[in-house]
Amino acid sequence: MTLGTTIWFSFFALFLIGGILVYLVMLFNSIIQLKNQIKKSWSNIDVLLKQRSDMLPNLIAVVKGYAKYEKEVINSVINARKALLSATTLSDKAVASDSISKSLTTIFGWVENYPQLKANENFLRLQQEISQIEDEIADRRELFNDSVTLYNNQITTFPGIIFAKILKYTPEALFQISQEEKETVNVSLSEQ
Amino acid sequence: MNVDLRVFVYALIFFAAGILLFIQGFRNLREKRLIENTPTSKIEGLAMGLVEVFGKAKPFQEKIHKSPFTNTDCVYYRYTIEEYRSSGKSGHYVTIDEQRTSDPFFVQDETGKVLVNPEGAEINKPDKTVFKTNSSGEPSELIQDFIKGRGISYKGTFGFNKDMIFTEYLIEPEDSIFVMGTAGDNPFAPKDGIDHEDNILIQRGKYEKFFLISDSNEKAVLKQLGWRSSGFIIGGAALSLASLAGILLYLGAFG
Repeated sequence: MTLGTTIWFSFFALFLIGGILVYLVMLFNSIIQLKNQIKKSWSNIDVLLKQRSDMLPNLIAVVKGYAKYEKEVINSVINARKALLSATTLSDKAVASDSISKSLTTIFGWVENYPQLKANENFLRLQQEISQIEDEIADRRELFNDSVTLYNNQITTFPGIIFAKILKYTPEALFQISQEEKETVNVSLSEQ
Repeated sequence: MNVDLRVFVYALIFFAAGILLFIQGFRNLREKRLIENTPTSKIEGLAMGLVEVFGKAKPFQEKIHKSPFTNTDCVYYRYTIEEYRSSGKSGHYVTIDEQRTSDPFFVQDETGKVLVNPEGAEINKPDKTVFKTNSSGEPSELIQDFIKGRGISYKGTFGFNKDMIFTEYLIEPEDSIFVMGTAGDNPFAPKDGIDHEDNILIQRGKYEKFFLISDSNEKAVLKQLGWRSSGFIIGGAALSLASLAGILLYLGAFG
């Protein structure tokens, strides 16, 4: 083999091996990036869950005066809030958040039974702000679930599955909502 | 320079160009991966950091531009004026004037709208209109007035028209656009604690420099980047290897 052929084949191998190596590095980074994307998406939901939780004591204080006989719903909000604040796993937070959302839908529906609530500015303001946060949570939950799906697809298909095994990455759970919540009608001021 | 030496120099240039194309191909592949790995956000629930949104372009504060060559209403335009320059037997077009708007505009989906600052963005495939002038073609009056204002003449020696190309790229209001960039607080929004529609701004990030605005949807952008990256990687490697063969041949390394 002449010197020219050796040099040419060396460069050919360099392009081939270099290309494959760069591709593998990109794939590895891609999995890490997807994992970070899930963390970021979750943090973005967590911020809103915290924000909504902070508003609940004010809301309860307002509605307690009018809806004295609705203790069950009020207690369920208080308990779900406690559960949310003490939850450490995603699934626990999802369950608590789900419970809060359901109770809130009930509370916002009280305006029909308690007309005084309709006239209370504090209640209306809180209702508007909480409804806005609920919508944002729904959007971010969708984004979170998209991120999880992308990640799960990547780590369960070839060649990503190889890196997932090395990194000991396992599929992540989606932020599920209950069937009841899917069926509830979102109460907003414009509907009143 | 004799013919052989010229071929050798060209081979060296093509070898370097091939390597650059090869690297560029991987850059495009990285961008493709970044888009694939970032889900499209609803604007209402937009969070800070690298985001991807899809919606319709809307003017900010009713600010509509008039494009320079067609007088079309738009939220963004870029234009280039190229002139043919000959050198010996060959020649090529040289860009003699180029400008783009940098005013922000909104992108709106079914949940809300967010401000986009196009400064530093890679603007991909906006509506393009091309006009040419040569010895038999006159530019429109609009173009004549515009270039006069820019101190450019389309008349050459002895009053003949120069060979020129005028290209205009537009994003019009209501155009569907795909934006991928970094969302953050708008430094120019009023700081009064009220939730203004221009509180958040998508722009080129400080750390993540990737910022793309395209009038195609995500699928089309990915397809385009896919073709471009594989073309550059394979084409770049092939060009370099072919040029290397030429260089080695010139040096007599094949024996």
